[in-house]
Amino acid sequence: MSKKYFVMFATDPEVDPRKCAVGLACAMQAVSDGHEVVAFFASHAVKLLQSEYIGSLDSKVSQDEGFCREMLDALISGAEGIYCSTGSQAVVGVTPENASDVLVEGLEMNWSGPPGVIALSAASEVSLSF
Amino acid sequence: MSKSYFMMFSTDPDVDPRKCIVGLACTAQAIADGHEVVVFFASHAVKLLQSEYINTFDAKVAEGQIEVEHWTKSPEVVANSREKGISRSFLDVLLTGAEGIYCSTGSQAVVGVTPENASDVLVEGLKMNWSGPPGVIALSAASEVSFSF
Repeated sequence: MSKKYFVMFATDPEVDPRKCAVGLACAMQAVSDGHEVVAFFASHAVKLLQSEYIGSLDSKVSQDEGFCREMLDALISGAEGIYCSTGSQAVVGVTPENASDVLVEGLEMNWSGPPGVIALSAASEVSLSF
Repeated sequence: MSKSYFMMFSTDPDVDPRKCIVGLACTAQAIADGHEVVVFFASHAVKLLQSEYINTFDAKVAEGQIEVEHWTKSPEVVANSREKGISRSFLDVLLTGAEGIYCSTGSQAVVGVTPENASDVLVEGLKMNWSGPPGVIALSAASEVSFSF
């Protein structure tokens, strides 16, 4: 039976890259298993959405080139929605205006914040935080 | 509809400070939205409960100015943040609005805090529940939504 998943990423991938990769893998798995998945990126985990950064994550988690990007692409194409913290993005210099130059393609990003985290998690049946 | 939230903090705020303040902001938001919130502090995240630590935590979080309006629309938090800082203002929301504040007795001991000296070190008004892993499981099992920061 399909369930509603809320998957939140808030760990700095520089601090714990493997945890972030595991989170991407689990979110992708939930999508491929047919669940309704909403993903929220906050704090320095917003870096995972950057084209250049996600490409560099493979070496940090001892995976072949393109592995992390494939997981992120699968999440983007299959998730019900991708959300991010506007404030967290601003800290790393990303705004709605320059996002298309920095972030991966196809995001259809929902710019949000703590109110979005609580509203989306309250509407979910399963929440995971990485 | 109100839901029961279990919010666990176990990230060392010296290692990933921004993650910790995001957790505090989301917890304060859950309270502001009318949910029943229980908060558990373990590992080195117990430092967030120390007066001296939380009162200076904004400096660790900030890479440039913190825009409080990015984090909350609560007029109370916005106003208090000017005087106390945004980290302390979020923690104050937890202290007044959470159903319970819990901590790991063992984790507190590692940083030198015990039930006996807690009033000298921790922020006022905690009404602390000294607990441990059994509390984590019992409280999370009783919740509808759980987060770990």
